[in-house]
Amino acid sequence: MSYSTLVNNRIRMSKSTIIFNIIGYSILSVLALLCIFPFIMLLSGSFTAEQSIAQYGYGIIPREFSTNAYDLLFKNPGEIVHAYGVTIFITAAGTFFGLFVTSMTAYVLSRQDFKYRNGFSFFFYFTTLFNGGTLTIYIFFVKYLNLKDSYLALILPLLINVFYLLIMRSFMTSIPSSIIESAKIDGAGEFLIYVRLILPLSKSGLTTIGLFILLGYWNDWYNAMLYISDYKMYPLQYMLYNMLSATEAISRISSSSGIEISNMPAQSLKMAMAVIATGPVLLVYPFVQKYFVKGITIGAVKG
Amino acid sequence: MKRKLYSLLVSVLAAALVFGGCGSQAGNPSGASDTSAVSTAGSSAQSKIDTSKEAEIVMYIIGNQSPDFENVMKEFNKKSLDDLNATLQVNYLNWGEYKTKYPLILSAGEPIDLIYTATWMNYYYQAQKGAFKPIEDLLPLYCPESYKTITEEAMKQATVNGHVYAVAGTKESYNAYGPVVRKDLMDKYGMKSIDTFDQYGDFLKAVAKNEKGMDPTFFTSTGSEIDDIYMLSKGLYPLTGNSGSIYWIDPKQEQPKVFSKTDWDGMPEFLAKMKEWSDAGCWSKSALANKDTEKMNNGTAASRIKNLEVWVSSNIDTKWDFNFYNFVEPIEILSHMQDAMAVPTSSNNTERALMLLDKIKSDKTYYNLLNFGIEGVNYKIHEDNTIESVDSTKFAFQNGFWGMQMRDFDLNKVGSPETLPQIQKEYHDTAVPNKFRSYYMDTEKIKNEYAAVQNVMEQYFNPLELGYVDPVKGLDTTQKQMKAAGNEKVLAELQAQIDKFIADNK
Amino acid sequence: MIAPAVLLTIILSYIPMSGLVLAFKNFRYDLGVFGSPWAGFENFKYFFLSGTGARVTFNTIFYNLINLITSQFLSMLVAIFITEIFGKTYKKICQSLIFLPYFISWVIVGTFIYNIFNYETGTFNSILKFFNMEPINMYSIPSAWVWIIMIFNSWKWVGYNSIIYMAAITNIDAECYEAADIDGANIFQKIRSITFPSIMPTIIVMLLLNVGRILRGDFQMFYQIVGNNGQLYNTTDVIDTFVFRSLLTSSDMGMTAAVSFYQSVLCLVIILAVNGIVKRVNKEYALF
Repeated sequence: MSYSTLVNNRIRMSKSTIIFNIIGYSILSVLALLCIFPFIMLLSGSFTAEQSIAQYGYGIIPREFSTNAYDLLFKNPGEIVHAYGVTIFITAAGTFFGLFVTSMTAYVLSRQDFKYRNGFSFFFYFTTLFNGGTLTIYIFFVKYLNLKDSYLALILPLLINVFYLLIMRSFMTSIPSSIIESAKIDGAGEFLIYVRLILPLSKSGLTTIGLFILLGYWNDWYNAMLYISDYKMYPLQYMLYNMLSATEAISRISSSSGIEISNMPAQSLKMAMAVIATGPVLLVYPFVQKYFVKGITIGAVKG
Repeated sequence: MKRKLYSLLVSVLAAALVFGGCGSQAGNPSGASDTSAVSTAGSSAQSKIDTSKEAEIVMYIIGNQSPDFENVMKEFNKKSLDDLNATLQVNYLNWGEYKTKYPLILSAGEPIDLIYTATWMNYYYQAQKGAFKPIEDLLPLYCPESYKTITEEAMKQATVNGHVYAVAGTKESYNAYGPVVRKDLMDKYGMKSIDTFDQYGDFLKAVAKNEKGMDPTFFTSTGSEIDDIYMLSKGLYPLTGNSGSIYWIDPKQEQPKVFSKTDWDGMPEFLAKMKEWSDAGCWSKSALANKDTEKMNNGTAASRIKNLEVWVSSNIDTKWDFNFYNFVEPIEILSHMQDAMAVPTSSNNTERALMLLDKIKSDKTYYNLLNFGIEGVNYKIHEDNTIESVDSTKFAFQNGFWGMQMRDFDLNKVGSPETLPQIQKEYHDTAVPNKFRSYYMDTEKIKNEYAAVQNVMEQYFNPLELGYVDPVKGLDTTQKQMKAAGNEKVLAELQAQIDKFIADNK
Repeated sequence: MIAPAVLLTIILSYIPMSGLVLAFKNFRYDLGVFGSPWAGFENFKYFFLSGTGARVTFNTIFYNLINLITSQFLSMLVAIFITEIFGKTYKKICQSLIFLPYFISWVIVGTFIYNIFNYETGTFNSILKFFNMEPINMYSIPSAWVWIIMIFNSWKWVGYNSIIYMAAITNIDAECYEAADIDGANIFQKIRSITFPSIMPTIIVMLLLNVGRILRGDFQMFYQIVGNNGQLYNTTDVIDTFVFRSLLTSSDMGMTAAVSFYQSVLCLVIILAVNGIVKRVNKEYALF
């Protein structure tokens, strides 16, 4: 029986529990309101006529309804669908391998009996402090690894995030070493212990880090900007980013070069893009949530 | 574990060696090909240019590729293969990436034969830093036709440390600058014309008083150009050749003295005026936080300080009519380095690239293909010699090819103001040369101070010129901060450069 | 088992790290990163001229510290409430909603902030006018932006960070709580004596990881919220925005690399010190 049901079943609810719940409900409600409000503005902004935004700003309900921004985005629906495909592929592959490498490494680093654990932790951590700079990394990737216009260039840079690695490690240190010891006595190899024992025990950690890696890949446009020049290989975020900067840049540069300005719905377009890019990830979230149910007992796995 | 560590160390070292080694070598070959290019050019001058081997010319320009562009390039390459045994591969650096990627592609050693360059893309800086090949000897040989059209002035403007690193088109833009104003509002407030700075102020105040929800004029977070227009109208010359310059001279003086905007005699008077205008509500109190550059075109602003091009496009794109008043005298042709093409150091096909460039700039069929697309499919030419786009979302005009715009081939767009050809002719005929336009600021020796000074101007001067702070106290603070940032060192260096420039151009 | 990660790190991070020399080079395109002439400390100078370097360094550390405290504290609070209060559906909905701001990019947040605070038509001043109060020009009050930035930063990250704490709480062995229930502990006591100690490793890791980047400003956040608003720089200018602005026209790669190097070295010193202290207190909590 899980913990929360145990509490719910109690007949007498103590005074402190009631106070706690009142505080909790009020804080969470206020926060949730503060968070949903701008999102509604965003949604409504994406459906508002450009002229109306320029005149009156954003609101909860579109003052002047218009699907102009979406029409523009879906002018070539094939393009967007394709870009979604690229993003989903990159995100799936990246998350799978990223999570695999991260959890495996984190497990090794979390083992108390691994002598060089601090040394290696520092080895990884050091890369978050120092990096060679965009120029050198670009030259290295393009000239020596030959990753221009390759999906690998989108996957590799985000594969190991040292922050996630160290957070994962901290989750894994809470696994009692006695469990590992007993598995060892039973004759299980290191890799087997990791797959059969550690992974199931770290479900919530894996979900968290997995979600973060997924979001990292999903939202990444920077690497696509650097390494992808074939527009058929653009992931969604970069395609959107690019459309947006084009509308902004054209009006900015036009004065010096005299290019033609077309009146693009720059503001509502910005909002519509955010909606399009965010939508699918939001659907993933409920699936993630079910791993955050409190009270997974170690005993259950042990038995 | 120990063995693992060891093998690791070895692989690190090996990899580092490979990378480091290649990196340091990378510079040499390009440097070597530099001289060989010049020498082969000299020898091939006598013989006929050899085009027996097919060449692919790689060109980088800025912009987003139009959907129809690939079709147009098929046409283009059919022709160029016949004429020059070469094909052109145009790569666009997108609007979202050009700032980051432009320096990267120039450093990564990927062979590029032609690239767009301009003053606003830091032409002089990059040329000094060895990004481009010198082409002064190659131009007469491989660009014979277009070479004839290049004025001496244009060549001078492209010269950096005695070498020419880029070549511009012949389309001219002018230093004409001033307010672009909504015609209907001028009529409403009984203004016949806006010829002086104060008349413009009257217009702004009238709008501020009577038009609720509309900004009389607007600025964006990049700062205003109202100080530039004021100083330009007094006949002063900005050392960068463009608005936004911190350092200025008076070109009428025999030995012009370099001064910073903040030290200019007229500055206190100007700032007092701006304070008055600002308090009268001539622009938003949050103007520096504004990111909307389209305020005039979407009807939330009544005017804007800009140039001929903005006036034309606003007339075409919106339902309103606009007037444009130039405040700058005399009319001069802006530096040709506003838009040009250069040959990067990594180019493998320099000769053929220049030949192709010559073709584009001298053969109207080539020119029109790149700039306007396929006739009938992408554009129509009307009887009055204006050009109309069939579908600008399929093929955008002059998309990125600004570095090779030719005056003779240029066409005005349908819907341009009727007076435009006349104004263009007038500007062209009355334009006077200004020798200082071929001077460029070399900040290499003062780069630290210059960066600091720039930062001070943005922090202190931008709010000051919009009248957000007390004009007297604010100017004093700005001057003090400028001094601390190394203003005097910058002034001394620029003065030395100007003195040398005058001596050299006697 | 650690080998793949080590190899990848060497290839993707350590080899390109040789580019750090750029900070000491006068970069030339034709000579490349390694072939360019040495410049000594020339590239670092502009940062320290006229005392701006010290000011923006202070600002960067200041913002990172207050953002660290506020956003981590809030995240922890949210995580504890979400795991402990009743009402399964309500909890889930709240959690999802609180996560939403993560998806709203700073560009859009910046637009909204301008819409709220701009003097003439902003929502904030409209409300003030409605109550017959004088409108306030936020863009001329630098100190207000410390709060605005702090609030928006917490708002954006609270959902994201709270997930980490929730995962940590989920990891706690339920038997502990059951034992406490039998002992008759109330909910506050349980949080204090079970939840807190159990998620302590996570709290420390989050603290250390954030301290390790204490000199890196969130460029997008500052740039999109403050923009090029000179009046606000004294309180809102951080290293990253200052460098961006100073090198806007020259975009000198050596100078950019120099400041990045300065940030890295300072970060290294600070994290070594803080990590050393943590190590002394409890060896298990240290980062390395």
